[in-house]
Amino acid sequence: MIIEVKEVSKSYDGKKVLDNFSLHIESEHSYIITGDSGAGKTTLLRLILGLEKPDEGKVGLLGDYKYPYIVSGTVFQEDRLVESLDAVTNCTMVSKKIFRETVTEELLKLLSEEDIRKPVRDLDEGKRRLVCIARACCIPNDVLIMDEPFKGMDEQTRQKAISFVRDKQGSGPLVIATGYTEGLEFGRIIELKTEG
Amino acid sequence: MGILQSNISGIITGFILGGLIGCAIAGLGFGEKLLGMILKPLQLILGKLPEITLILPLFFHDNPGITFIVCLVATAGFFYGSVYKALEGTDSKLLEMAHIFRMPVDRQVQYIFLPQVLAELKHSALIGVVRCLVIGVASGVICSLFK
Repeated sequence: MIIEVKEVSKSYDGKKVLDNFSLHIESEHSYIITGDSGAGKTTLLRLILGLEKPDEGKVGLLGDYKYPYIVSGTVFQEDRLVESLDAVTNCTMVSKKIFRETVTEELLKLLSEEDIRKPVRDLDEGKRRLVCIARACCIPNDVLIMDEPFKGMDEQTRQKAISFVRDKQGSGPLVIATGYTEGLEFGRIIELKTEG
Repeated sequence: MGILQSNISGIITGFILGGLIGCAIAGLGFGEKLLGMILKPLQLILGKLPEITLILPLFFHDNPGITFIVCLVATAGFFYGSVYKALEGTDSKLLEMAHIFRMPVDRQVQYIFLPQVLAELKHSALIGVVRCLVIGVASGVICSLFK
């Protein structure tokens, strides 16, 4: 599977955020999209996910692929968790193809037993991001797309999370948007520049 | 008190059925945007002024079931407005997450929409009961004036 991002441009309120950007996202490869705030990292991921359309250019799937859309394990820039539910339920509720026992096992690699049982609103930012990462990695997916997945984490937790993601990547592509690339040298670093 | 006693069954059944119908139509109207657009004027009138149904006993005071009908329509309109507003207020980012993960519809209802609706119903149920009671008694009074 190849996700083709071809000469895409995107503007908001007259300000160009992406300008003629191209990228081929291939299986078994990792891409680290970096740049300053406002450089277009989140916009690029939203275009890849099909949440927005580019003003120019196109995003599409090349090769044989069984679905008309990308099946993605996604970590959004915001947590987008149901605050009143615990970590396990937040992960299992999104798909009928994953089970509590499996998710619990995976979450325990990242969090304590106590943390996975309490409502996510009672977790700090770093732990909530770990729940988001587990949710993205546990569902069956063909690509992992993550927007600032490690924010709020200390260095030790960050390394643990990176190892977890790499372990779960499998044969699909991995795309991470982040302003801080320490520990992500395994991937191809792509820097987006802010316009103007 | 006599009017309340003689109309109580109509008020209670009208309230229960009206509540169920209002919630169901709100869900359908939210899911089917065209239906929601068609019902919008009804939602605006009945949602804010369910008392407007008191015009019905003026014309149908001979109908023994008129109190039931008035309570049903008023309650349905009231709860349609409340539940539809709750559904419209659902976190759009959560819905986007559900779309990207291809979250099954029944799970979306269970984990995203239902808590939203239940929170609104907790707030508006008592108001709905009181309004239905007042409208039911008023309907009974209007009918008795014609006897």
